[in-house]
Amino acid sequence: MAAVIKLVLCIFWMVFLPVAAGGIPCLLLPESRRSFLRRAVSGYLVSFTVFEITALPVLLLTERGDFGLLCRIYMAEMLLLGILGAAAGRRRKPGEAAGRGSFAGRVLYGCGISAGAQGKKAKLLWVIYLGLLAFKLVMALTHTFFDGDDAYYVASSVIADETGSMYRILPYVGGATSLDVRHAMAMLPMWIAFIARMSGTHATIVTHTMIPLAFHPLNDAVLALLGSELVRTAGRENESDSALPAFMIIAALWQVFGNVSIYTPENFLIMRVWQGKSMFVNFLIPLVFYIYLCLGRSYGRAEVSGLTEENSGRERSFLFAAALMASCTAGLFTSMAPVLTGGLMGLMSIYCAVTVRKRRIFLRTLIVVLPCIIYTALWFYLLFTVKPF
Amino acid sequence: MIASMTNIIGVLEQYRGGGFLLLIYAAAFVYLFVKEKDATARALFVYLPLMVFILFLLPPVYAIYCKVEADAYYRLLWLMPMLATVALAAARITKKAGIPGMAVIAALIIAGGKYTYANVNVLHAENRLHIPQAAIDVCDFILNDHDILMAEAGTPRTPLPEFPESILSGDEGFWDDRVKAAVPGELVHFTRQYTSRVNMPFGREMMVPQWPYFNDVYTEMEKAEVIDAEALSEILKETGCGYLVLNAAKPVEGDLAEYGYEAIAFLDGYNIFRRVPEE
Repeated sequence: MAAVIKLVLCIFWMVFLPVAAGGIPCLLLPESRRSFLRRAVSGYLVSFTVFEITALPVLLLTERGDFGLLCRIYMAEMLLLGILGAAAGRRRKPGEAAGRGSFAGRVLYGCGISAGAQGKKAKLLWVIYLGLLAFKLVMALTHTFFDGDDAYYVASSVIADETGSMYRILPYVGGATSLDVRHAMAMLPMWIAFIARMSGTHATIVTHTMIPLAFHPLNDAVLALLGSELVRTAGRENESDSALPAFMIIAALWQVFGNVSIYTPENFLIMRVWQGKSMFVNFLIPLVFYIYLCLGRSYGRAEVSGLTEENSGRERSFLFAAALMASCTAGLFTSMAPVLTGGLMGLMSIYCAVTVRKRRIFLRTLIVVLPCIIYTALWFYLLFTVKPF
Repeated sequence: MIASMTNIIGVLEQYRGGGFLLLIYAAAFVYLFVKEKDATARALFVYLPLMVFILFLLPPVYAIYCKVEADAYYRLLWLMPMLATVALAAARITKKAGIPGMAVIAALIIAGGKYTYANVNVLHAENRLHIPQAAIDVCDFILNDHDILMAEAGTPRTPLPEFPESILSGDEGFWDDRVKAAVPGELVHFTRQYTSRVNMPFGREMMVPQWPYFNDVYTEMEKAEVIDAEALSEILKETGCGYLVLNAAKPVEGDLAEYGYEAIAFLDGYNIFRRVPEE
């Protein structure tokens, strides 16, 4: 019974509240563009952003990195955001979805995947993709993936949960140390420790068993968003379209057979999805591509974007908000992520600005990447000023 | 300059690894370069990756990046959306050639890739923590033994404090809830993933050959083919190790009990020794 309660609490803090919080940024969107996938992904962005913004001051300004204080503040924030998001997130009108035919079609439509699953071919492909996703989840649940870096990251989560101190105890051997600047500002292990503490579950169980069940679908959700936007290029939304499920199947196969070296994103995804580096390359990078793809198109012709002028403006507000949150989130994953993410966003904004002849994309991106710049400056400052213990 | 170029090509070679997934990506890239009509998609999935790749090949970029993170230059390649590019090309081909077209691409990926779950580091999980059960059993035994000793000695058990000020003051006496144990290399990664109550004289930093660390205990325990009981026990005492865990298969020359470490258990293939309090 206790295990069931822990599982429910884990799902509540790790999945339910972030997804609920996604209702808030989705308010910026026109109703026709709100979808479950956008809500879920933007909800995790809200959750990660709020965590990083809350955790950094607690880490740097309290004497020993007061994890208990961080938990109390973040708990209150997430409860508030979850309630507000749940209240704000309005569902599509039932009539709209009902018009999409079969149950599978309604589910996909609710997910914002307009290419439906009405045709037999598309249905078959979606079943194959879901089989591959289920396979990844079962393997993550039943197999152990040895990675040496876990001795640092997972031990850091365990230490925070058990001692209440963040990044002031040596994870490899124990004993006091000064703030480990090189890794400390990338606080995903503390987010995991938070889930562990709130659910009363061992941090290593949360890391190795629970997190993959949330992060694999989350990463695939980003791919589905990116894929649905990419295959929409053809300019039609054929009911029997099989392009998107084909996209997802190939993506899943690329992940499962991507172990050509230990450096590929796919290796990181399967072998250590709970680590920030993996989330950076498998969640954040595709998300940034999705955001700028949509941004570029939203400035384009109506027949390409599929939006009215007013809705394009709302869509852009949402996308810039998402880009800003992605910029804040980058530092949560790995210390180099803000540099790479900021640089990538800068390059993308230049390409998009040139492509659609809108300087505004670049100018707004300069504001969007500010968190990356501040984070990097702070990281270098601490790196050169914090003395070893 | 030439040395940098050689290093960069080396990074690319290492990233490519076995198989020919990079070739599939190159083919997908060329396909989109020729066929992609949408201007934004073309900018982000053709021109941008090209720019990233050119940047990746530039020695000055390599030099700057390596000043910050020397062994992670391959991460610049992460900014090229290989998966999405291949999947997009496949989706386009599927639209034209149907499921057989997709099946061909799937077959190419399977043939050109490597099955991740066949990796030697993927094993059946022994428990929900996904760490070896032996690490859990050994830690539980040591902590339980330590708690019993403390209770017998009448020392009140001090729970792990929220704010461990004592570690700042170096007051080891406060830490009666913690133990220091030397464990063999195969358990080093997992011990502190299970509990922060077990400190160790050496950790994972000693297990990576290219990292420039030195540790006496590690040298005596792991590097020596036959453990010298006297030398090891002396070093363990110096580092304040209360417990020693040795793989039962590891030969030991001399009797550890003579030098202050008595055997107290044999568990999951490991001998556990406890330091005998000195009179």
